[in-house]
Amino acid sequence: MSVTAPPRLTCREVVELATRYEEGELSPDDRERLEEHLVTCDPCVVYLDQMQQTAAAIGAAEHAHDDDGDGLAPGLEDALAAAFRARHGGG
Amino acid sequence: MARLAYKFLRPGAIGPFSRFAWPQPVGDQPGPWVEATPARGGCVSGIHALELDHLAIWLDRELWAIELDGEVELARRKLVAPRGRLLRRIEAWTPAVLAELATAAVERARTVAAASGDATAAGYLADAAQYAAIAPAGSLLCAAYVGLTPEGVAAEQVWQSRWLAARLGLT
Repeated sequence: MSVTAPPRLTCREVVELATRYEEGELSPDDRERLEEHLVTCDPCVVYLDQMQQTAAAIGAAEHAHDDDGDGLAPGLEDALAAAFRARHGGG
Repeated sequence: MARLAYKFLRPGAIGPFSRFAWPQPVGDQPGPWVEATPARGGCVSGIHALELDHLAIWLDRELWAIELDGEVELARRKLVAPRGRLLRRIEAWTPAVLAELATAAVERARTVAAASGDATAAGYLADAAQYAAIAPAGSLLCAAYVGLTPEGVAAEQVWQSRWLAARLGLT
């Protein structure tokens, strides 16, 4: 009896596994299947890149606390507020 | 012990999964040695590279020759070593060659599917043919799946890899 080759991961499955993949928590089998998917799926590559960049930006922001450690540095807070207003057309 | 292998990278010699920016050779000089970092989760720690028989599984925009050093192991379908350095970019690896490979793989898949007479194989062949011009890497995978079983798929990927190695003159 023949054994069918295992199906490729779908994009939805890649999204579901993305966090565990980025944190190195997947089994070697699942990790390799996910990476094999990435070889032929540019949109999933972009998705994972954006996720990693977002995580890096949040990490950087967490290190940009003010002196009290309980809020964002004043300049960063102002810049984020301005960017939010510009994006949403607020005044 | 030093060993020659190959490595696909994103544009700019960026690791496709690690996102590590590989230091590149300058002139005739190899790039500096890169040491493996500690293991991340279930990943086998080390510098990953490819034997010729596994090239077609891990395609990306750039192909580089890499020298591995230390104890080199074959882990699944990748070589793993404690350190490595880029030797030279394989300039012959271009989108045009990828398109040639996809065309060759579809022709190969046509033969394999006809020999098997299997409807599923015929379906994979149709997908491979449909995507050859617009998504050649995906087409290659469909062509390999004409092998149907894990061993059959692996055999098709070896065939594709050897075709590519011969086309690029890699040894």
